[in-house]
Amino acid sequence: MFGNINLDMFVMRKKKSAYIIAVLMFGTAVLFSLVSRFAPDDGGNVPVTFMDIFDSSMHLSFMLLGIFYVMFLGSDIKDGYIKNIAGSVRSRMGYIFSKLTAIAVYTIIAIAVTAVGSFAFSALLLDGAKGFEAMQFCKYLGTMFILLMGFAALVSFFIFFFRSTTVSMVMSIIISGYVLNNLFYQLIEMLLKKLKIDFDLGYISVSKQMLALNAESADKELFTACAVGIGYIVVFTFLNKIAMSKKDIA
Amino acid sequence: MNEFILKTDGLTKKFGNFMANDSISLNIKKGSIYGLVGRNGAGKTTFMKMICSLSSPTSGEFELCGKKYPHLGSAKAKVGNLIEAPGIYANMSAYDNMRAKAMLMGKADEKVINGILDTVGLSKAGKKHAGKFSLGMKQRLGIGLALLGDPELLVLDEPINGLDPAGVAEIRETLQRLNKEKGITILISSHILGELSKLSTDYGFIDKGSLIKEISNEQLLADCAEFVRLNVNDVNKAASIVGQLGINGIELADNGELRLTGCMGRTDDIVEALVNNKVRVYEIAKQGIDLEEYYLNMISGRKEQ
Repeated sequence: MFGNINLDMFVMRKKKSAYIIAVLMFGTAVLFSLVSRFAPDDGGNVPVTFMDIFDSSMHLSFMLLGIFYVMFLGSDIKDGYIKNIAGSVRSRMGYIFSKLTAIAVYTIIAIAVTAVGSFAFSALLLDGAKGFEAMQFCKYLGTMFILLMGFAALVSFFIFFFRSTTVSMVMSIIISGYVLNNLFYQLIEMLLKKLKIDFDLGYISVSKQMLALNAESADKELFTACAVGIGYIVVFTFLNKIAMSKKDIA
Repeated sequence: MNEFILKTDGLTKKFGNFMANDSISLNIKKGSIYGLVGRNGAGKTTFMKMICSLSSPTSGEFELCGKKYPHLGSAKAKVGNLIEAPGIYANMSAYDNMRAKAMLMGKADEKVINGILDTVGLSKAGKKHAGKFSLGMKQRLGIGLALLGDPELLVLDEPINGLDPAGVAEIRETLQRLNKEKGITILISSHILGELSKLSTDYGFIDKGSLIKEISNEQLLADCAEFVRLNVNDVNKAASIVGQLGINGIELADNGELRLTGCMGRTDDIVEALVNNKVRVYEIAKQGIDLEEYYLNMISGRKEQ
């Protein structure tokens, strides 16, 4: 298990995409700070804070993280390295856990990079530290992390089930991209209405929860988002176990 | 102590209605080089994948390094494999690819990694990304990865596919060295039967998912060696002397050689008798069909049945 985690952390360190995505996430924070600083003031603008910059950056970075999750989780299958691993490990469950552990470490680093970028540039350009509440921010970060891990578990299921990085990438972008996501869920909700099923899909959608999450979310909303994230982690880790243990390694 | 490193009993794999492996029962002795022979789609790779825990059998059982499937536990780590194309991270060097797997096995020792890279002839590959390697280098890296963790059994599926003659010879020498010096048992499949016959100590022939014959190299040579070719200064005198030894299958070939059948284990008697009777022996050799012909004869025999 530890050997597996060591391997995944090593492979992650060697991936250019890990650095590119982190730089892009930092860049979104810089970009939002710049846009907010130089946007024309029509007099009715509310002052933009660090939390606003971080919120916007993370919503955009959601898709970037989705892309990285697919690239990282799918690399063993794409390169065929999984043949060297799956035959040697005692349990394929350990393989799934180590992948998600490495993803968790990367997610924390990526969120931290975005937070530093948002804080630094909003402070530099916008007096951004105003309105910063540490406790609320920590709750918000924790919830975001759980939701992202739920999303990673979902993406890993796409990878292990379809065994295709292309299909998984398309699915990941649809779910994490704001516009495509809305379109996707509108289509599903239309279908549910046609079938006369009265159900708010957004309630259990990890992406809807992620995109609705912001620094001012109430405790009840944060709690719901946490529950959805944990639900995804549990359900999709279980499904991953089935997908990995039943399928042959190509 | 168990004589066999692998014993399978009725190992079967079905994909839907397609029977990829049909009740295969074979035994691989420790320290042997076992050549798995079969045409494309015969079921060699499927069999190897099951042994390497990359695929689960539909039915049947097997014992690997003394542990019975599915409770293989530590036995899994005693098997190194190169199944089909080598699985390598294209964006990493040979060393980093090796290091990644060594980390997985908890044995990321620089000396061990460099030693294996040296064994497979990749010590000078440097920082070049494995994705830019030639086919031969990739194959050698695949074998190197399989060697990590001191495996007792190496499972190699078509390891010389696409290699040039020099590459093929290098791989052959490497495998022979590993077998002799480290006592590693090797299960190998190849379409290049001539090459396989230079390596293997035992053979298993697979056709349409079934094991049709298991045979040792000695038995194979005996089955394949059909006649003794004799080149002497006086064929008539030689024929008479050989006849006196009770060998009846004597034939004069167009090139002036004698061809003797039914005397496979008696070449030393023949030479002694000829020399004692002052017949000069220029050449004596066992001549027969090769592994490829043997296999094709066996397959065509099955088709006719």
